[in-house]
Amino acid sequence: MKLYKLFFAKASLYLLQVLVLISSISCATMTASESENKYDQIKAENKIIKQNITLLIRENNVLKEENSKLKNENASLKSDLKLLEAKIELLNKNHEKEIALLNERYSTLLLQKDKLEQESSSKISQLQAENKALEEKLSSEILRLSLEIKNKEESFALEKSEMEKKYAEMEIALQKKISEAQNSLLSSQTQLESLKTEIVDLKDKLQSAQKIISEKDLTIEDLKKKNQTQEQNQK
Amino acid sequence: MSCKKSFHSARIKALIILIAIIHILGSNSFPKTQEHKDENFTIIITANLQGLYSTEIEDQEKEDTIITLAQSIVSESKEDPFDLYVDLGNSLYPGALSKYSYGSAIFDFFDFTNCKATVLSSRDLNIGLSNIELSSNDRKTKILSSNMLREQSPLFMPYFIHDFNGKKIAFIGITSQDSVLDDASKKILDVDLLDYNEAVKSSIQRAKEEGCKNIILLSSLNLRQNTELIKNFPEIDLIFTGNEPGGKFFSVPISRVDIDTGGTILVLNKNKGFYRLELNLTEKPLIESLKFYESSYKKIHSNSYNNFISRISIWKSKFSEEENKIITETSKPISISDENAAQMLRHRYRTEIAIIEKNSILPKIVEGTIYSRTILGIVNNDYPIFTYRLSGADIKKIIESDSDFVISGIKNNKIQGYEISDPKFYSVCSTQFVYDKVTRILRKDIKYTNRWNTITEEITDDLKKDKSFIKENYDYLDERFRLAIDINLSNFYDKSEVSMGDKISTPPGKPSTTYTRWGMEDTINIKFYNNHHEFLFTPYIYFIKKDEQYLQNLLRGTFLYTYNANDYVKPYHKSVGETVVKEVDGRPILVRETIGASLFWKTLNGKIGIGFEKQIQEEEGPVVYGFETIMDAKFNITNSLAYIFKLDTFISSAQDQSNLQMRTEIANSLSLQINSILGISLKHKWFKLYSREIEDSYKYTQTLISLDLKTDFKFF
Repeated sequence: MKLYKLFFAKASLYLLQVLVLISSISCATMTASESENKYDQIKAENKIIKQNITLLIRENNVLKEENSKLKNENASLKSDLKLLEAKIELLNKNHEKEIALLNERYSTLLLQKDKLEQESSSKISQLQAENKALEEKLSSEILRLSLEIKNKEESFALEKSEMEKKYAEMEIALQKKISEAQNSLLSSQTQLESLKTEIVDLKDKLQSAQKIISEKDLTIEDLKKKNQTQEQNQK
Repeated sequence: MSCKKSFHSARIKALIILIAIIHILGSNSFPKTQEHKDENFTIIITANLQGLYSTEIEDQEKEDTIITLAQSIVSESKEDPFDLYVDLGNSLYPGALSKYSYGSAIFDFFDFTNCKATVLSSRDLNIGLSNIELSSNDRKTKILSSNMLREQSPLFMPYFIHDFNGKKIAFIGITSQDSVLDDASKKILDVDLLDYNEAVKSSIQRAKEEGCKNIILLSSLNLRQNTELIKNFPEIDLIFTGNEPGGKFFSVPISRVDIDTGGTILVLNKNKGFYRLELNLTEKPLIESLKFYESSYKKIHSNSYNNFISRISIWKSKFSEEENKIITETSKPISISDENAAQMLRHRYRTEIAIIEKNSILPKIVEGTIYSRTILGIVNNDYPIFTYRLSGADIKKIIESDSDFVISGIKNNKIQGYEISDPKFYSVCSTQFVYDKVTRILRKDIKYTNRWNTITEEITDDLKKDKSFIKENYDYLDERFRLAIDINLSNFYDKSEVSMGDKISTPPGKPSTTYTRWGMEDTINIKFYNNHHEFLFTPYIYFIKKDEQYLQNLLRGTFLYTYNANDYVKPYHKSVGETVVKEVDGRPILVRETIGASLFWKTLNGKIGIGFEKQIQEEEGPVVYGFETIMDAKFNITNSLAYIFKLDTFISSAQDQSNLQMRTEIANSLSLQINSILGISLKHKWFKLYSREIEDSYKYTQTLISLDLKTDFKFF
């Protein structure tokens, strides 16, 4: 029994030691695994943040350069603007001077215009008076000439009626002469027609006579040829 | 005064003419004019841009792929206006400038070209999820992904609605299911990929509630998954996919698939230009025309274009400033590839094998100065490096899986010159991308250590110090010595209590007395080895005590040297020292020295050797010479049940051929593995010692069931 108790006590002690060992190992493992997880978590966060920061820094650098470029452009544009403003100011000043000069010219021109207007109005009235006198003279001349034309027209109408009478008489006499001539023409035409038929007859007669003559000539030629042949034969 | 008035009126006239010119010009630019609005719905689509900006500023307007594409799209918007421009993803990675800007330079391109949205694709995730989120903040172009979730709600915009002549069209984005989220994002951002069917279902439902008549999916899934979606959801009119592997049918590239239910899948994966798609939306969307236009140099005159070019030039100059750092110099041309990167990882993490994905490194010949930008330009994978342990069986499965892996450290199915052993664990180094694929192949979680460095960082660091990345010969990695410790603890405890009176007899088969029996058979193998030499030191205790009686009391130390000559025969030298654990009548010590050859054939392993043994203490004995035969074999019946056979004989005699003895021990065991470290074994041991001198023998058999604790460690 004593042995059993001793063994049991030893075994319990051994078991306890094993349990303590196991629990301490498991605790150590758990703690190690927890800290490993935490470490991994921190590493993961660190990785993401590092990459994000790199990205942001790079984007920022690009934007910075873009910004500085734009700033430079802005500065050069500003200086250009200043230059342009100075130019505009100069142009404005020149412009003002020109305007003053033009205004002066304008006022002198206005004065000239007034003077010329005065001068021209006296001239116009003078010319109007002259025109009036000329118109009056012209109307009296027109009146005179129209009277003259009237008188001439009247004398011309009288002369014209007399001439018409004379011509009517002459026309009647001439018509008489024409009818007589027409009659004589008609008789001479009939004579001509008869003469024409006579000529035609005569022409026919002449043609027949000519035919006879030509036939006679041919017979003469034949005779002559016959005669020549006879003579040759005789020779 | 009148002059001033005329000057003022001239200015007003000039202003009116200017406004008229602006109005005329404005009416001709993107978006379409009223005249075009009544015609077809026109979409411009790009895909797989891969952030391929050049890094040169000179002639960039004519030579840079992305800039010429921007010119072509803007020019198209003026010459032949369109309604919408979308990108199908894979646009941020692996272009060096895009990598450097964490995708920001590509978002500048999208902003300039008025891109409405881009789909988040698997390769884009190399940039890092939080970086993508940060780069795309406050941009005109939105990232689409209906299945990328953070705390159960979409991380990016799941869809957008486009109104065309009063018709609402929903464009839903889907991220590839094969996407690998970087470890940091997984740990910190609590993001997850929802199943694409569920994601599409909920997006379609919401889009319909908002009055959408037409649904178009912008997908980076593969063809099988896209077909499944269009079959499951007849509401989907069209799927545009730019995913490269998505466009293959029986390994044949295809560009369009029409489904009987009316849906169409368009594979739009060309990347040196843009697609112009004309849709007739009178009823179901009908494809009127689809053309691909290659990008080319176009002269653009606008302030926004000048600003875009200026922004990209600044990115490039900053890239040159930072990435023109000299990392190292090489005196001769060296060809670098995936193999170099994998071997470098093995070198840096002292692992037995290293695995990376094919094309993680663009093959290149480097000579002279190696700059930071050189490294940035060749690396095609920016996931962190993980180290973990895989069993030989797992490694074999990975090799057989025919994945696009480049594995260094395995030659002719051997690791460091030794056949891959199924139960043995090997140290592995890989990218997170490969690790995720490995867990999918093996269908189990594997404990890993994240090294928080990418391949780019590893190469940069390595080239500054060891330059293992540009080595031509990596044989030295196999010549490295490693220390491995295998522990096998097999223990049992048996306590029997008997109490009986004086009058009763012991029942048959029951013990007559109380006894306590406990024992252990513990082996520790401490191995120091490389590809040629193996030094193994094995302390062994076999101790069984029954009450005060020692049934087994053996303490053995073995030192074994093996020369790894070839696969079948390996010479060895063995020194064995044996004594007792607990001293009983002194401490006898026996030593045995043998040399011989180890023979290997499949699962059988035998040793034949000659040597001598001598008891050197407590009755010093004569030197006896002998012949030893050792054989062991392990046959796996199932994954967890194995049969193990061991035979150990030593035939010895004294120099004068007297005292011939034969000692034989045969052990048969059936071992059931409960988990990776615990197992139960049923063992049967048979021992015989025969002495010719006295013509007598000693036999001993033992059958026992034990609880085994097995574990192994590798230190370097």
